Amino acid sequence: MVMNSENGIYVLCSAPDSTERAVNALLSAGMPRSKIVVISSEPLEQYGFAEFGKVRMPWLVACGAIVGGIGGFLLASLTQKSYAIATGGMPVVTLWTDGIITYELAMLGAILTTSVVFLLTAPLLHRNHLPYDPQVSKGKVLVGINSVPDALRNQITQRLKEIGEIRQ
Amino acid sequence: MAKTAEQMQRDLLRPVLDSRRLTPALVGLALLVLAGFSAWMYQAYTGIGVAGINRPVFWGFYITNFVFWIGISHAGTLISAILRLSNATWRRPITRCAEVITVFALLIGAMFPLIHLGRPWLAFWLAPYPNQRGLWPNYRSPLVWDFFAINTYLIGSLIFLILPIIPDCALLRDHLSGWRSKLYGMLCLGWRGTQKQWRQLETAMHIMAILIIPVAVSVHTIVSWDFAMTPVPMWHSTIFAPYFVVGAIFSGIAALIIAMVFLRSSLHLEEYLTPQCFDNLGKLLLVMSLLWFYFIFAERLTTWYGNQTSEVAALWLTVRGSYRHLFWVMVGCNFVFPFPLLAIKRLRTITGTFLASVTVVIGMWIERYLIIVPSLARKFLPYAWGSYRPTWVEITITGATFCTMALLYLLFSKLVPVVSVWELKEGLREEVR
Repeated sequence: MVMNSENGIYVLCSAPDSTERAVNALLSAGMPRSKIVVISSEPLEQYGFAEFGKVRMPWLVACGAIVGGIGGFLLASLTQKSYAIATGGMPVVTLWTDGIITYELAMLGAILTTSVVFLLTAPLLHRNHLPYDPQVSKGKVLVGINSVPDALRNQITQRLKEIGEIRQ
Repeated sequence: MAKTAEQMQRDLLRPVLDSRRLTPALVGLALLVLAGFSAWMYQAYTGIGVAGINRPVFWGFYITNFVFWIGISHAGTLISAILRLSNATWRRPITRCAEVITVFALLIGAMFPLIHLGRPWLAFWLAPYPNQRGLWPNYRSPLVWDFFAINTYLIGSLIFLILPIIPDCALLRDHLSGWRSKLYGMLCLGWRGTQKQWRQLETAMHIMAILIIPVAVSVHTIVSWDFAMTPVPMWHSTIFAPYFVVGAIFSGIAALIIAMVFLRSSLHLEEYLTPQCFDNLGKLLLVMSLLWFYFIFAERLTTWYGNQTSEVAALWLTVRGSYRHLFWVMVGCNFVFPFPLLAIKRLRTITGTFLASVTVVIGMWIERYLIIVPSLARKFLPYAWGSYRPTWVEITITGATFCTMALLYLLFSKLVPVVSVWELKEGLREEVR
């Protein structure tokens, strides 16, 4: 089944194998890999068409942990200095116990960064005008491209129709 | 015959799509929760004197419940994270059941300091913020560490639960119509299911699994330090942190098995929550039972060998004094009874693991009680000795918390598939390949 959106074309495939063929057909028609969208109701990371780019999330999470940790230490130590209690000559800023606050807030920083980075990079929460079909929820895989050059439109439509026939 | 992905999806979404069947149970539980809430309001209106806590036993049922529920919360996220990282295939049907327990148990556990305060409307004093009183929380206090640790764990567990729910909400959006479709459309945050989104989700889940394990361990460590940092007999011990963590995981696994048994029968998930899952969890429970016995033996042996007067007074009070019945029931519930049920393969059935889990949950509640009350009742010199007897208010609130857990769990199962659909489909595809 081939569908035409305003500028894009996509095809609903019934299995990852036909999805792979659809992706290859688009690639051989001259479409760059970055323009091809594959939408499914489950991860298909074992297949060739899965995303294999660099993932920056762990580094950003590490930065979040550092920021959280510094914030935690500053919160505890600056509070202890600002509202100093009589410690009888013992340190006002207690590194052992401040370490616990530092640790917890470092972890909190990492956790919050993970969720924020996920929301921004997935990307969620904004209208990205991706093609979609409720049939995806019933197990179909949608392959398409958002904007097709007019010169290639007929050729791509023809190739995707062939995939549709194979599926049938 | 193996199920197809479509049949699987239909089975797992059915409890959400057809949500009328559990209504009588929900109403019954809601009434019991209301009874507990009324008891709490009665206490707030009348004063904390209606509870049985007194000098020197300032911590009773409420703090027992606090420690118990924080312990139960260790089931979910910790088990789920470990199984995710080890890529155990049998985890797929149970991870969400487990993660939900964590969030709800933490919410319930975190309520108890507020209930224990007596004047819950002043609970905001616990939070660090500049104020005219010039009073800031003391960062040397384990109670403040608790505040940070529990909130970090709660936020982390909530995110760990929500992230893999997003794709299932997208499924529900497409399977429902009207306002429910719109609701799930909002909840799935515009999820489409592009390969980039799947990859980012898997990466985020992997990172969260790595982060949540040390956080989970730190939380119960810090809860144990509420006691261990105090020079009270039988509390001031270096073994308390690992002892509490082990106890928490032990009770958490038991709670998970109980929840799974009820979900299995009430939502007809027999083909997904299989005997294999219970067998594997039963083995884990067995290991934790042995570890628990090791820790309690080590703790008591060290105290007995040290032979310090105040320590030994608290020790004998539990082992052969007025708390002896509870102590030996605890040993029976946590070790003697579950051990054969879990060790003998023929007995490690769904019924066997369920029975063992019920006794473990009872035993672990008693353990928390025995850690807290006898030590406070036998503090050093005899003039400071005392006793504690819970009142109907404390008993009602305690009973209601178990109903709250069941109610929240049932409500959740009506809103979200309790077994992750996409993870099971992914597992099915991997099997086929």
